[in-house]
Amino acid sequence: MAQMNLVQAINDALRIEMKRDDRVVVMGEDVGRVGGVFRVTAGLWDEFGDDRVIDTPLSEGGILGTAIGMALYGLVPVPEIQFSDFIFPGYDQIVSELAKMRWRSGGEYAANMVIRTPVGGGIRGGLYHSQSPESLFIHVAGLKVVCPSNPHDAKGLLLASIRDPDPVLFFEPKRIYRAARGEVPEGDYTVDLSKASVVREVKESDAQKGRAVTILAWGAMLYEAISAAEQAAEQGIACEIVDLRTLWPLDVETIANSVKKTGRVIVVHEAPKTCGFGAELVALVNEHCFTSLEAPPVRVTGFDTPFPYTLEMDYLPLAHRILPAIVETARF
Amino acid sequence: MARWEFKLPDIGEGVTEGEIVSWLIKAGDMVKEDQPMIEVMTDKATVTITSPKAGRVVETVGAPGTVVAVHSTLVVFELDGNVSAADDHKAAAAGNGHANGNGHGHAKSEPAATAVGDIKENLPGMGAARSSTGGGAISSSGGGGGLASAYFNAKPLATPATRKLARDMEIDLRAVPPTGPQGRVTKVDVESFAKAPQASGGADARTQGVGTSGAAKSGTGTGTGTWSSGQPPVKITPPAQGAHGHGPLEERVPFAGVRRKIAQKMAQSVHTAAHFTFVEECDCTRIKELRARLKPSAEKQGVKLTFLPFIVKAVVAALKKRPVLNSALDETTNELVYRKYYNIGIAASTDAGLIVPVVKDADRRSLLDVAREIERVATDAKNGKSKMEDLQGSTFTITSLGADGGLFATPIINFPEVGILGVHQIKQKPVVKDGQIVIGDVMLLSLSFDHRIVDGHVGAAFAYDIIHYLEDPDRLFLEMA
Amino acid sequence: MHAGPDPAISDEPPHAEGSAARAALSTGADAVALYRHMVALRLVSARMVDLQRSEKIAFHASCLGEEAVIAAAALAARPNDWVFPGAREWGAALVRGLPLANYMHHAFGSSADAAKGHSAPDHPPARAYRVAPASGVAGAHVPQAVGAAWAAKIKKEDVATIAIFGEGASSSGDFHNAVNFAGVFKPAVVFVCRNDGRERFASTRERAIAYGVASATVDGSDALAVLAVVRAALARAAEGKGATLVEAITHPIASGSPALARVPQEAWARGGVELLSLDHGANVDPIVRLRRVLESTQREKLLENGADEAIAREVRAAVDAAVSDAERAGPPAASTIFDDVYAEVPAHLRVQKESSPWRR
Repeated sequence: MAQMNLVQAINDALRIEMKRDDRVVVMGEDVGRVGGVFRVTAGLWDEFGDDRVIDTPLSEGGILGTAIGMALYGLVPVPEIQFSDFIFPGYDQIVSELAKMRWRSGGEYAANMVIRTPVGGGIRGGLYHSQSPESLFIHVAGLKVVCPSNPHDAKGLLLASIRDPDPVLFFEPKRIYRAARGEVPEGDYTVDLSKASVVREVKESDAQKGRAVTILAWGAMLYEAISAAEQAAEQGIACEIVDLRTLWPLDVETIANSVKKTGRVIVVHEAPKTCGFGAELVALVNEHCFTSLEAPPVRVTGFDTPFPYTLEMDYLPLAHRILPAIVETARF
Repeated sequence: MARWEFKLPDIGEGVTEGEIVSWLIKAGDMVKEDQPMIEVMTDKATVTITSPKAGRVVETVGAPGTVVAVHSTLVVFELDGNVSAADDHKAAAAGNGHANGNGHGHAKSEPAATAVGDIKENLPGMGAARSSTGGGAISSSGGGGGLASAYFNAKPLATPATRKLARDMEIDLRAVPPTGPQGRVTKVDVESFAKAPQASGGADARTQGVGTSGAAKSGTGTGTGTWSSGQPPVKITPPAQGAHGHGPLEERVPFAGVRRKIAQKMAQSVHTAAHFTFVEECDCTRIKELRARLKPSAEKQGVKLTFLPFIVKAVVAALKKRPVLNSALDETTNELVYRKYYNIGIAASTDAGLIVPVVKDADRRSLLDVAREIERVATDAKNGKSKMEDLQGSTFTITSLGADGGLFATPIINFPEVGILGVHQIKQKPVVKDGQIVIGDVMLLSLSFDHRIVDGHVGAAFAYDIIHYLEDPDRLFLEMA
Repeated sequence: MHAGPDPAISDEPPHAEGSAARAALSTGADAVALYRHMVALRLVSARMVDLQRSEKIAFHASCLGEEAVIAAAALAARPNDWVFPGAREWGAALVRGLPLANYMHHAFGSSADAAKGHSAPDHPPARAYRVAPASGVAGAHVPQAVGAAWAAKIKKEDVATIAIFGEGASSSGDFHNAVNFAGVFKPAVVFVCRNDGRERFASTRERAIAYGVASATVDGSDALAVLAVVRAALARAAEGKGATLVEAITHPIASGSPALARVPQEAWARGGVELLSLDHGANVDPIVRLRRVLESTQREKLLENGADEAIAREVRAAVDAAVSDAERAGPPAASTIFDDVYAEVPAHLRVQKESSPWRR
């Protein structure tokens, strides 16, 4: 076991997999000699060289288009998009090509690759260094979307993602790159994609008292949810928190079991409210848990505006916004 | 050329039918877009409906006087053809489009070249008349319980979990009195109800079939409707044919339109508000003198000054002193709403029935203006030309009972208001003044109140306020707003 | 970094004598093979146009008049090389060995379509023949061709890729990214651009200079010239000298062209030999030109009299059989919508697959 933060855990996963599988190629802007602007790929170029750790021109379309070609040929590229805000020039290659390659070729071809990219705000990055575009990818059939909240999950999920035969968007919550720390097993292990994790549990007996709330969260906001839950506990409200980890495909069963137990649910996400992933989660909750609902499902999210620079702490759905939602939902 | 049926649109406000007043077009006419076609009376207001399309009228459906349901066909059109084929050969042969490759002269005219995609000219379900999205259904059916004490709410509020519990326990949620926030039935309510003995009278509150509708419910125009909750609809049958002479024993007239609307409102009012009536005399000597003095000036400004404007101002002053008389109960939120605006309904009797046009913001109008407004809305009402907005929004109503008003009356409250003032004609009567019998001008006032909200002494005090203002107009002058 | 255009490649003007000289470079077998492929593409494409006209298929990207570029580029590829076609270069898969029956099942989206009716016609998957599946997005395949060649380079395998596309796609952002990356990383890729006159923008050659890759311009109606140029470009690439942007000037025979006016309507469906001479004096029909070379007395006649009819008959029979098989096969099962979205059908799709009431 070792104490690692998110950056170190991801770095560890990349190193392990590149050693294990010589098809794996890391590519992107500043990933090689610089080791990545967040140091996530530090040391890899020294160890594996130009052929496997590639500094590319500034062209997300070029990075992703050529990566797809590499994957068709049989390599396993792990391209990095430096900030998810810049993924859009490559969005066409992702949506039109990567997502549809297997389907349009009747399974003859597939592009197995993992696109790593930092997401989320809270680092004073402004409009173009803070976005969370997950719903734009979840909505595209053929893609998988992952967002770990802690080093242990990050390493295991990245290893699982690279080995997964389908294309994966691996979203790294940059706000907690260093702040998220924890025990991480050394060596090779995977975390199951499509399994959510209940990080804070409510006992059945507490749930029956009728003042329990399920919170669905992921990424950096998971910690805000935990903080809000601790404050809510002082008011006699019990919160069960589900860390989704893999956003798509979704572990609906874990979510449904929780909401059926508590009858109340809040979704927390940084992305803007309208057509954010919370909307899909609420729809699924309605489909699976309707007759258990004691209160309307609530979404605590970013506002339907671009991401602000100065007022980002007002924009983000932090604990001070989550707590009133918990209380109101519990008292409905 | 396409046939298209124009249907009576849903103009909202819970209107479900209308009576054809007159046709402005006939079969064979060419009609332009927005051209007026037909006058329809809905819920006391007559509206002129214009055509949303241009075309030729093939047929008009319904003679004047016919009552038609919303969404029924009124006019059948033949529309102008409008499919213009693009220049076919040129377009198809424009070969320079990508991935085109076809296009030998084809007899069929083709739209301009698109590279891919089979764009059809016609698809199922398209080309039918637009039906406007409906307005709301009639709001709040209120507590439809009949005179029996059984609680009944046709639209109970409850969370999904509570509803499931009620279903599992085979309890009719509509019969469970709510104690939860925002008027919701809670799980506890359901569980308590299950344990409690059945309410006396009324129907069994266990899950019923759909048949029983609360008296307050306004259904679609035609069809059966029950007026007493929990009872099957009343059927009228003639006696068995015997030696009753010649001719039919019955004449059946559809109970619809305005008449039916009035009936529904009356029933709802009586079944919901706990009516009590208060009657008192008012000495109108001084108000009569005042009116006589003011009449010429008013006439010079083209206004006919009756007693009604004075009464309106007296009522407003009294309402301001006792705001509860200007309130109404919001059943969806269980709140008593004190209105800060003063819209006085002036009930008028017309050929179509009782209509209540409204003088809006009576507190912000001069006496003259009130008089003008009364004249305007009353005239429109008598001529059947009332606008929708003049028939809505009253917070308190005055009903002028006129010469044939009787000794006193028990007016029915214009629900959901909480009081109504009935005004009888000023009559010359013997009165006692300073120990002497003299001839006085006496007007009787009959007021009804909703005892759920207005207690007896409050209603009485309100009545006396009005009377004092009218008997002593100087006071009214001082205090009226 | 800047490769500079290879003089041997970049400046050849196109003319007939030149092609005769080049014909000497190719073997007679090459020329006959090219001719057979081109005739097949011509007759297949004509039949597909006819099928689209009669609404039996919904889409066809005709390659009439451009068979030389497609067939020659595909033929130039070595056995281990990969071809990345766009929508109009479906013929490349046939040239590399994809059975016509497969192509036809795909065009009809039938139950025997390898793509299970997921794609519109002319995007047949052909992995066994090292042909990538075309995209519906013009130019999207070009950076993928670069990536694949790049992967081969990383793996130190002697594999080159050929991307074929039309002039229009050369305006796309994807094209720019592809040639940019090719200029930087020098994978073994050949870009073959059909300059078909459909767009009238910058010249391919000028673009190549900008990106630091070699270029060549060739007469796209001269099949042997195209074959020679693409082979030369492949050889350069295999030597590690980087990419070449080959611009082939083509003359697509579009529906309104006078060349087609003389062809009777039913020849399209019949696959008549009239379709094999669409020149009308402009000397642009590549089949006519290659036939002339093959029949010329300057060398042994490689094409006997009546060979046209024989080849046409063969092709026609194959097309007829393929069309009738494809029609009889019927559409794929409705549940195939859910296949191949992911490697395995995930839970949420299983629910959708099982809960919908299907029409069949």
